[in-house]
Amino acid sequence: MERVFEVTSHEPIWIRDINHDGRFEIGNNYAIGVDMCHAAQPRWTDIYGYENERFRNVNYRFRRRFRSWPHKLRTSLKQYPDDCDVREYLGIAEAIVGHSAAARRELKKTIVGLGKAFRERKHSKDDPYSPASYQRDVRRLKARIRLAITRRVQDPPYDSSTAR
Amino acid sequence: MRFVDIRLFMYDFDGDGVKEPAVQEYSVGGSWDPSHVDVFMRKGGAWSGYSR
Repeated sequence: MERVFEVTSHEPIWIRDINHDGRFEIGNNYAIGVDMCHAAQPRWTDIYGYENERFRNVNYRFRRRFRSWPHKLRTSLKQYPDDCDVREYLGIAEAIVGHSAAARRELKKTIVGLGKAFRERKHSKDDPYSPASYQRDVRRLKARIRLAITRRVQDPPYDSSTAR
Repeated sequence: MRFVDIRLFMYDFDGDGVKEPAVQEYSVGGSWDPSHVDVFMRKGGAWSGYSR
């Protein structure tokens, strides 16, 4: 027997058969956004399921659960327009609900925002943004842009199961 | 990481009718206290592949 999946969260993790198909899913709730206080951070849920011989992010299978997210994140961005984390999740949410053009647009805007953040913080002592981190983030976003049409923008290795 | 509550559950994750073990670990409640889940399967995939 081997461990085939693990996830750690700062919030309770749930296990439920949410679409009653006989396969249980695992849900990881976590806060997104970096510019606001903790209480104002939107709570995103990643859903994991067993598919094609492995666990993977299966948010794309539950698009109805994500239907309200584009509006929710756009509202948050009105208050925090430079929050690249929220904008990236807006791109993810748009992809999941099937709006691939909007998804690509928001993910490209996120890359622009990250470039601005990198220029501002690359020499910062208090809140540094290293070239390696910036390049990793841009690679992840470019991969998400490529995947946006498939709605599986969170496929590994860009999976957040152990990242939060 | 210190967990105060560790529980073993059995769920069918792959839909083959056979349940797989999932270990859930919780720390004292409240935001920012971590929880963790591990899922185990027989090597090579689901339990249903196990020969009698």
